Amino acid sequence: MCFLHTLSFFAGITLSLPLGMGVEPNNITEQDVKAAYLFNFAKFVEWPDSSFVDNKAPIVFAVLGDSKLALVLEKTVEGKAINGRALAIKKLKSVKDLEPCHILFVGESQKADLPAILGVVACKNTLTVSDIDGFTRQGGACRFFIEERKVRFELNLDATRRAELKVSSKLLKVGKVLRDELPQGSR
Amino acid sequence: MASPGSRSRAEEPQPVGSAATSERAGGETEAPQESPSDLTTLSLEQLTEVEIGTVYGAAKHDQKVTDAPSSVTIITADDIRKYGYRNLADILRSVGGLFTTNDRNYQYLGIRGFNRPGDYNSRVLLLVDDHRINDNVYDQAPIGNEFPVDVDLIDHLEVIRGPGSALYGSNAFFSVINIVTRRGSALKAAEISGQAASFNTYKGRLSYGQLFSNGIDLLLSGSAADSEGQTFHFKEFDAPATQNGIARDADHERYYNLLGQIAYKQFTLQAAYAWREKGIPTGSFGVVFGDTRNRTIDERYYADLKYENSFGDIVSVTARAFYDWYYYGGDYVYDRTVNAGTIRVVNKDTGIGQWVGGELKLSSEIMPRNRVTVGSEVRQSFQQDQRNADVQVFLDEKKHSWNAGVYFQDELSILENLTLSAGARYDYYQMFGGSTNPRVGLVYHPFEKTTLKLLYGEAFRVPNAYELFYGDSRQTQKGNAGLDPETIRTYEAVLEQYFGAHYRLSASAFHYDIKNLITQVIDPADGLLQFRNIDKVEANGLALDLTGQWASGLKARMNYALEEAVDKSAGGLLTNSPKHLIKLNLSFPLVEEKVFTGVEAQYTSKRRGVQGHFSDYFFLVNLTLYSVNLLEGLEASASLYNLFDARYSDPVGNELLQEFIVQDGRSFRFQLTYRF
Repeated sequence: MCFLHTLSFFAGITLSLPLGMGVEPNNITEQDVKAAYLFNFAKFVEWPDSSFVDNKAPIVFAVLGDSKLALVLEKTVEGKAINGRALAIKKLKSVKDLEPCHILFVGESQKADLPAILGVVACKNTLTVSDIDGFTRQGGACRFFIEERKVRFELNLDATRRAELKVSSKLLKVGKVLRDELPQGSR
Repeated sequence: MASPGSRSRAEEPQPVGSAATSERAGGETEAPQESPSDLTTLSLEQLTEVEIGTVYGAAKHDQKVTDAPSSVTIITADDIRKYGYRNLADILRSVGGLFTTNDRNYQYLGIRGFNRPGDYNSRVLLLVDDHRINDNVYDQAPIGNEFPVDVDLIDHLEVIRGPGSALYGSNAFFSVINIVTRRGSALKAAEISGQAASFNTYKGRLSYGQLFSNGIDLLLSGSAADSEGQTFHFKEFDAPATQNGIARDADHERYYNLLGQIAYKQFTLQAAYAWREKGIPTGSFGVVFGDTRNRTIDERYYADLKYENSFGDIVSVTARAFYDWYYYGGDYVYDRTVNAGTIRVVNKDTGIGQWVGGELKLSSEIMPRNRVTVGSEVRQSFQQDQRNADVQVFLDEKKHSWNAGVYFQDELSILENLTLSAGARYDYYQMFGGSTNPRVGLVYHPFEKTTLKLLYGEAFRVPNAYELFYGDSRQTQKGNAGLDPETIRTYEAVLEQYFGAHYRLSASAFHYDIKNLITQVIDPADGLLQFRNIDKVEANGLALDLTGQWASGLKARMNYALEEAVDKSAGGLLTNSPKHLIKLNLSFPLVEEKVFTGVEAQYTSKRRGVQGHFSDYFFLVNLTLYSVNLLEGLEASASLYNLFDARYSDPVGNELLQEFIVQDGRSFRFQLTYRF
């Protein structure tokens, strides 16, 4: 039977492909990837010592107005530590709940309150992250965007400088780098 | 669960950054025990290459493909570039269980063993960014070059198998295909692209996309193409009176399309325009063979305004309003006898559709693990006209109608690993009354890497204006105003299994029961074409799909579909229904991050034609070399289609004298794209 031969030919090719490092398709949501990025941001951004009570104090993530991401992030960082610091997550509902944190994620639902939110965290050693369009333009530090089903991010280095954060070159290599004065279209 | 794959990932050297030199990352030591989906074990570079596996169209909100109550395939812009896809038909032909037919005028999509003669893809709902593309005269889902969006502007495409009437109403009979276009922010540049291909085919595209500092996202694009086409020899016309069967300069094609999209805050306005002219070389509908004036024109435009907002992270609202236009004009050359003399005339066959409509959708997680989606849709077709005339007027039907639908869907997590998805839609059609179509899906994850889906669905399709009213005063075809809607009940089981770190296997089995299937037949009494409700058709099938993905950039997809669609009243397999379809897609980098190769191989088994003969099975191989940043901003791609020059033919409809039409031999395309 011709089609059986063809089938075994195809199967043979597919199964003889080399093994290597793999990532699985079709099982990963954008929240999974964003949470992994946030974890990496905690690894590759250095905060001033003054932003921690002591050297055992946790790195604090706050997720504002995105309960889905907050859930995924909790699972992602569960049981993990960075530089001997535990990782804590705060789930916030509105701008009124804002309190000091190291990484603040602002959900799409907070679009209208964005100026207020950025006003509250300005210069408080907070890495602000969001997927709201124009976030980095309005003074936010990092924006996620999706291109061809892959989550990417851009960084506004003027915003991280204002927040007195040191960003590792690893992040700069992977993210798109912007500054306040450059139009977003510049590459 | 520990697996060799997750272990190898843990052994990957962790990136060491300035802030992390002294880190004691828990993830590193614990990785082998962790789920393979723990993305924190990936490097940043790898993370940027992780493809998100979510689908929108299966339940009208984003969800994991493994959670969707359907069997889903997603094709991305990356695939389009790496496999050198030229149009929608090229893309769809590569998807498991799908096949296409080309009668040298239009292309037709076959799915689950169905590709009915005289049907312009009315049983597949085609959406562009959720906007319905099927028109209101023929219900046509255009998949050839008349499709309004240039394939290079597609971000990704979702093929959702199985009935979708429970959410989308009519036409979502076998499948819903949702195309998501690129946004201006994805381009952030101007792009100029040119291509040259076999048969004197040239195409150009100019696009501009930008996200402006005031938050406006803009995309503008235009394409134009021209093709001389091929010279054919049709043995059915091999007689001195019909140019010995040779059709020269009759296969020409020209098309233009424009796409504009502007998004600001919660609003998105999209407008598209497309025009295509295609010569008909086959002498279909009994025209004067070889006359180069035989042609069809398709023109389509629409504007769609969408408002999307979410309130307090709980409720998301989508509202849209749209206006659509469709024009079809066919020129068919005939010899008519007038006053005992014969004159050669150009018969004008036209169809014009215009409609407006709106949709409102609310989706909310009212409780944790319980998502409810409700919506309604109204469409006013204020023009559904058909006309046919030359020396006299053979047809002049002016129609209008309206329809509306409401739908409800609940997705409830009964257990942590068991979700019930149930929904139904009620549609009212002015001409046919009401129809309710439910869908129930049970999605179970017994193990972390295993998904089992049990699906039941019903769908319907109302006969379109063409099937009901098209008749050219007994020249070739007559209408049938007594047609009933066709209905389908489907049962499907899907098993998805991940194994190792690289493979995903999906296996599905389906059983379809169709009643009142609308089919074009030749009335033996007068020899005229007419659409009729065939009593009953039953289809059974199996599909296997194996995908693999490696960090080296190697991607592989292989699938096999076994399908059997049987006409229960007449007996025997349906026409143009291949029993076996096999596809292999393989892409890998030749030079890391610079040059990629895409190879695809497709096997289609024999198909029965409308006169009872069979076309041969065939085996196609396509090869594409694609390179990025050849120079800064320059992309190049070279493709060879049908590499081994296989000779094959597609079964075609009753309006052609030929039972089969020969398809392209080896052909090439070369494309250059420059971003600036």
